[in-house]
Amino acid sequence: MTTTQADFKIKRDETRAARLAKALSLQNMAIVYVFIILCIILALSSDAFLRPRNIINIVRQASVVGLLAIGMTFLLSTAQFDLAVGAQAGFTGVVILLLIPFIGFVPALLASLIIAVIIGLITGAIITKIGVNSLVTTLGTLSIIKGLLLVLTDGRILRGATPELRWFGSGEILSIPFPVIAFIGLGILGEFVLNHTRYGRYLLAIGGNKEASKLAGLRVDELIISAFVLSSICATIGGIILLGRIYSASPLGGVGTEFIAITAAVLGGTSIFGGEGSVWKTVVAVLLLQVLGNGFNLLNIGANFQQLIQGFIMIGAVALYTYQRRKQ
Amino acid sequence: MTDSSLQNILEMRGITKTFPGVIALDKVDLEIAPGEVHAVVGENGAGKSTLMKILSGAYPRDSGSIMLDGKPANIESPADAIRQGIGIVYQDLPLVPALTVLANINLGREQSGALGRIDRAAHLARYQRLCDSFGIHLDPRLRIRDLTVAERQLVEILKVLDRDAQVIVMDEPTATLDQNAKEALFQTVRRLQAGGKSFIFITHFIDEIFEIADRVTILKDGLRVDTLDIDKTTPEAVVAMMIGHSPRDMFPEKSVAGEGQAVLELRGIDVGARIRDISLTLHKGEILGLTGLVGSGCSDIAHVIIGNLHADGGEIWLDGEPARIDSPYDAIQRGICLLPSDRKGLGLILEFELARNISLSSIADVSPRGIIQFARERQIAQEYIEQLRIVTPSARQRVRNLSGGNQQKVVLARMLNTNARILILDEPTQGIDVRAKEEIFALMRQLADQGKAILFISSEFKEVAGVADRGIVLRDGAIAAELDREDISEARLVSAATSRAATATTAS
Repeated sequence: MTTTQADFKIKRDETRAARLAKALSLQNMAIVYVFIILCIILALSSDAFLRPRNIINIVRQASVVGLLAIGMTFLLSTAQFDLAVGAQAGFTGVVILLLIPFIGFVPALLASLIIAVIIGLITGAIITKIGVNSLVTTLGTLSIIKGLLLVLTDGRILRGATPELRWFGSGEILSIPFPVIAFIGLGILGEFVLNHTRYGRYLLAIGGNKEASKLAGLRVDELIISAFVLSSICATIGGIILLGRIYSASPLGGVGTEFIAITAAVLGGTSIFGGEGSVWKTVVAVLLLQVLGNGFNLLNIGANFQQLIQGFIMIGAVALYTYQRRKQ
Repeated sequence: MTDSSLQNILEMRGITKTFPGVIALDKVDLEIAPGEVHAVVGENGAGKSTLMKILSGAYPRDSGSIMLDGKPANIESPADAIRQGIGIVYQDLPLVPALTVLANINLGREQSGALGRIDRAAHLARYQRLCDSFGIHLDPRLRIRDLTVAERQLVEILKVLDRDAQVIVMDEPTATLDQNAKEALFQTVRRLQAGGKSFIFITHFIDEIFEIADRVTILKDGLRVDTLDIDKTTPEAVVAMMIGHSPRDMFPEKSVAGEGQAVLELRGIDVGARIRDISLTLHKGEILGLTGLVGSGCSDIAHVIIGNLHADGGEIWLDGEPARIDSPYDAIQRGICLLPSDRKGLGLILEFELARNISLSSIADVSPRGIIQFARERQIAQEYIEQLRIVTPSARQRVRNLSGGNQQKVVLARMLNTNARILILDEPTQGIDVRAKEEIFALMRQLADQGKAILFISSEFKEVAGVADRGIVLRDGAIAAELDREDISEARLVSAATSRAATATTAS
């Protein structure tokens, strides 16, 4: 009998229902369920929470961090990260405000995007071609950008946002604010790119096993560099929105938000073991963190607790994933 | 072994272990006598590893008993097993590379002297006593990272001896060893055996157990088929019991067709001191065997060909023209594909499902305009699952959950799906069961007959002799012999690879 299989006889093919159950399992969707429960609690305890204005407000406030987190999800998918994106968002504002008087509004925007591409290329090249790891490299670029911020602003807050700029912070299309459209729109686009295109698949493969991906014929270095460029562009768009919202650029603008972005990407289930990434769950995680802060305000607990709680949530979520993996 | 039941150092009785949906072990018995080398063999998934994990305390058993020295043993954790004299030498050798031999052996049980300083003198004295009593020589000051695989294994053995192991379990101890290292290991085992230690050898290599073992237990599908004295059986009989049908010749018929045109040529390739002046020609429709002891440089040649290792000198020619291949990407564009030796480290994306691993090198086929068509991707995977008989619940299964042989077939499927015309297979049969090996060899021949050019790299001389049309033997990074169709045999390959005489014999 040649049909005898030496390998463990595993249960036959999973049915569609079993797959759906798995997709909706706590393991897979924990962040989404936590988000929904939190929203229900807040809706029950405060009339204000479910008002459209409040919801739009939450999404708008989350948009800058959200854009950083979307970029970060792409980087984490390749098993890289970038600590400088928060500072880069602030840097974008300074660059634009300094350039507008000389070259005008649109060229200044374009220049900030070109600078973003260059920063991404350089960071990615140092990491892939020279081989310095991303922690050290981006700690370095973080310090450089923070330093540039101080030098360029001379430590002062720059003002002079033009009306066009304000549109990026509060302009509306069909009465939906631009930051909301950019955040949610790029989230949807990002999810599609990461999980439905060849490019996204390549990034996930690299995160899963870089050496195997290289031998399988992927241009690993170029792909990693491209992820840094992508993340850098996301940070810059975030920076433009930030500038449009606060009308000014401070030497400390954006600094520190990269940690919330990393927290959100990790909470969203982008695997710290590689091979898996989800932009839409990152978006949910960003909203969760924002709602948490919003909820504290509504319930008068005080926003001071926010960071504290975020830290616990982050460690709790990663501990859960790791524990489940070890059980397998 | 007349009254062995009285003398057994270890007895496992009626061991049963189930996993969800699977009976991994079904009332398995295993008796080990003092001073015995006992081989445990079986195909992948037969239950060898599970049995050893139960013995080592890594898995709890569902039922059954374990007796040590005639007394019931209480093994609930790896620490229990170690305390009661069970020593495990793992295949992947978990040592700390930056520490010395001595530090590794004493790791976790350091003796402290004054002020909590580690009492190195006491460690050293104990190490010397240990080595002397078993006739082992290894400088305790060497760092693990500077040792060969064989030496690291010796450190692992010393480590379990230092913890006073009476039964030493070795999991595939020879898989990564070359012929000389294997001999040295066997000598060490025999010395320890004479000193009263018992060994359990888990292995895929049937020939070896006839060199080293006293008895053999054969497992199949979670059942014990039999336990036999080694001098009362034959390798053929053991293999027959393992696979459950009489062993056919595991090698396919060789091709009778003449040599096709040369598709790949290496001319005088040098890579530092690792590879010197390698020239070889690979023809359409042939399987060229490339062999040598571990570390002889065969893998390096593969990586030079696909542009993953930079050659300092020499040329690569494709179809009679000089070619430049700077990366594995270039290689695949030119129709050259490598199946790398270490499938988990270099071959697979373990977290990816099967279909995604298969499509990785040729995903453009299922992603027109960059957008992946998942249904088509899985359908292609399904075709390979059937063609290569990959045992899996579905194309969506993560490859992490597949057995070694099936994982290897997934990497093979990826390679086949690139439709490359030059296939380099680096140790394709490493750590996989007999049946999967047979299937892979048959596939290789089929591909060659279809006109592919195949470079088959293996340190299994028997497999090279059985499968390849021609053979090239490497020794210390240089070509030691070239054997043509008429000359290729296991004996010649072995002698060319191991002889210390530097004269390269070119038989043609």
